[in-house]
Amino acid sequence: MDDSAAAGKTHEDYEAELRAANEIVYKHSLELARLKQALEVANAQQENLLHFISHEIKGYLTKGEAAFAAIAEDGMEVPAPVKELAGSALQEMRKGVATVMDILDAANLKKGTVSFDKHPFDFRAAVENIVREFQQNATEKHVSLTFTADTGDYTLVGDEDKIRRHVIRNVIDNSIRYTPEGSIAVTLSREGNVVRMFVQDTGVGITPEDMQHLFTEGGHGKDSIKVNVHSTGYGLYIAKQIVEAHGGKIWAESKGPGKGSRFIVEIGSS
Amino acid sequence: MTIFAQIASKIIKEQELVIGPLAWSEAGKVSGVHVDQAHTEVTLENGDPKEVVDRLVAQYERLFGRASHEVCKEAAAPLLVGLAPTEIPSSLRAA
Repeated sequence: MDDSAAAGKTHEDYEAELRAANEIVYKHSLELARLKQALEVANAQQENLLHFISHEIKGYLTKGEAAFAAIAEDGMEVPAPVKELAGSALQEMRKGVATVMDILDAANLKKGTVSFDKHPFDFRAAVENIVREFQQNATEKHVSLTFTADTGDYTLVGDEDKIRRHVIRNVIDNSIRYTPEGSIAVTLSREGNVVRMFVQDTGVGITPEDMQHLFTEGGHGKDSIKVNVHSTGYGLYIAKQIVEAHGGKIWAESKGPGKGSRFIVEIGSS
Repeated sequence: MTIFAQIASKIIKEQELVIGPLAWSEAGKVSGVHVDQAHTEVTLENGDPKEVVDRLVAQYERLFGRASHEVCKEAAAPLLVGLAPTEIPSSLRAA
């Protein structure tokens, strides 16, 4: 006597049960497939809407920025308090434009509509210039910002503008924002064909939980948002996309909260 | 690709969204349906292509029930518009 006979069931009974089970699994899979399709459509619509809104807002902000710049920076004769007010408004407007640009750039990178204008440039000079630009910011916060580089050729082939704006500036700016006191050391090294930039700070550090979201789209860390409330969460996501588009890697290290962080950018020179 | 091969291909791809690669392996078991290894091309062989499509639909229905038959009909619907009623495989005709 076989098992099926012992249980009082025939092979046909088992087959029927199996078919019924298959049918249930199929219906669930179908439901999931339809939800997935609906989600993909909704995501695409949301992305398009986000892109449209960002683009429109950028247009308004840019016009406002130009008007305030004319008053604050172009020598227009206005009373000093007005000039001061316009200067302050201009700064806020520029932050607004930068925020919107971050969102637009992230959307374009995700859609794959970003083109890269690659040509040889001096990575060392780019980093050194940007460190110099940030000196005042760091000094105002009483944070020491230093730059050192091993000797050697730091020529990279890449989109200089995007690497400057989205990678170098972003990483150094982040370090300044998240370092209330202490120091930031920017160093460069070259090993074979690989150029590395290290940005080491004595700042607030990164929790293991925040570390998981660090380079993700809109990835705000639970703790980091308390320090930088204006963060869009797109800066490091964009930096990662740009570095990877150049065949490189970017990552962060931290021993935890209060123990500082180190960001490493690695790009091949050939 | 003939219209019936297009219908079979559309059905298999729609089933693939639900049951994954199993859709292709089950299609390959149907007499008259030939799928290439890359799972990109479907050709119909051996006899009346309408009957081959019917067998394909029956293969999915046998395994996964009525819901899978409906998925086949929905998948094929846009391709049936230009066909005369007598040309439409019986499994795909409106109930």
